Amino acid sequence: MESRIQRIFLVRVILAAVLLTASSLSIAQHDGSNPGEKTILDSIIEPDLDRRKIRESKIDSEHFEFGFFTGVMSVEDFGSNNVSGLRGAFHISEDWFIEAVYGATEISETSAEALFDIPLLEDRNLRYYNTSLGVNLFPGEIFIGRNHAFNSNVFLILGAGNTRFAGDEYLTYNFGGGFRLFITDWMSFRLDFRNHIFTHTVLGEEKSIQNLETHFGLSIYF
Amino acid sequence: MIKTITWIAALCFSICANIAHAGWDLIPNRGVDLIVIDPYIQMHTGPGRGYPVFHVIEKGEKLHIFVKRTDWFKVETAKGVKGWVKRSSFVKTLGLEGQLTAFTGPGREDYLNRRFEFGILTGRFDTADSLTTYGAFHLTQNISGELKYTQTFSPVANNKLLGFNVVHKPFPTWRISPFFTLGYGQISISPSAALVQPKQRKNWLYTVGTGAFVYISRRFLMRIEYNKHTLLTKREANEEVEEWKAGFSVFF
Repeated sequence: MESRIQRIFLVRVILAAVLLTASSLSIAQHDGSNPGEKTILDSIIEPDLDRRKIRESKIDSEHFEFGFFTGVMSVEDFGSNNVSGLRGAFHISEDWFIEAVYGATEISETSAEALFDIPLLEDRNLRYYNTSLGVNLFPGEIFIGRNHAFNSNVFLILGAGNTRFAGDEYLTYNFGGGFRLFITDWMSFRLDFRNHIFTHTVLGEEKSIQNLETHFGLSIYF
Repeated sequence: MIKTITWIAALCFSICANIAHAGWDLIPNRGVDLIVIDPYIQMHTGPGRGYPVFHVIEKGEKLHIFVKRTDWFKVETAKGVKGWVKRSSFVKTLGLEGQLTAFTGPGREDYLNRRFEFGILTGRFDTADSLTTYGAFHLTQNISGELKYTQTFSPVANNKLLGFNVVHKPFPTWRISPFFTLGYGQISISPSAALVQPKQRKNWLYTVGTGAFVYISRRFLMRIEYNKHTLLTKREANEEVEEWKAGFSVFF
């Protein structure tokens, strides 16, 4: 008995499904038949123009900058030492850019360490990274000889990051400026001046130190 | 030391001089050809409004664009004059077969359909200063995934936090667009080296948060955010930490 009722229901469901599909198909066919038939009048009113657009993506863009640098960094109380590192930047507009820098240096002895021969620190490596916002201020041209003119600009930069120093890490603010000379469209020479400011307690009391860095480097644009 | 630097400087300079002299182009044959329909187009010596205009391209002249940097295109005319032209100058320029150009700059439309986003935020993580960098990938206008790296600094301890967040923006078209975020990650806590028995520990954590994006202009947007982190500890109670931060992002 039960199976008979089930079968009746099943038949009804299948019937309903078939009917529904058929009706929706017929609607779809009805809809689809109209635009296919294009009269001669239509083609005169709407000429078949190719409205292709030229996209910017076909043009090689140079918004990203990647480069290396080397120079001198003075770490307060710990002497002036060679510094080198890598940088990556994204040029947002002709005025603004953001830059991430990673640099490394090895600090030398304080005068107390040198005089009394007591090593204060075990870890003498200093590593820093920072992200900064830069603004291109003064665009210009540098003329070398009679036949060469190179574009240049002067920029200011401000940012924050981390410094790993004496086995600990410190929030570091940096600011400075620099000079960029474009050798070709895709390569530039850079000269940077930065001040890295952070507060540490390595020498006992809390001390805010200013660490000046100057470096030059090469960057490519892609 | 100074000797080494002088040597490297000399080497770099000679390489640069050579490259500049040869005028190398990495990708020589890429770009588009256009015909100028505007009455004239001004050509600058460099990619910026401050560089002087040194040439004017007349109506009907053919030109080739091969490089762009921010809003500027480097073009070469049929006579071989090379210079930089601002994007907005190309309003009426057509392709060689009459195609329209679609050189609209980054704007609100691009902001709404942004794919990649990169930003920097600073703020307070409990009582410590915090610094966050993040990269985001937008799946739709409403949903994006983010990888976030936060570093916090205080005299007591430094923390590093790496997390993955899903961000939902219910009203992406609003100029101040609110968002909700849910994330999971790991925090590494290292007490200051000056303290006795510094012992580093790691905890998993989950994060809930809310905030807002504010579209400023072009490729810039501002971001303000509040997060509540729950550190999953092995003790009886989990630790809860509140974080406030603000910063800016760019999209591309």
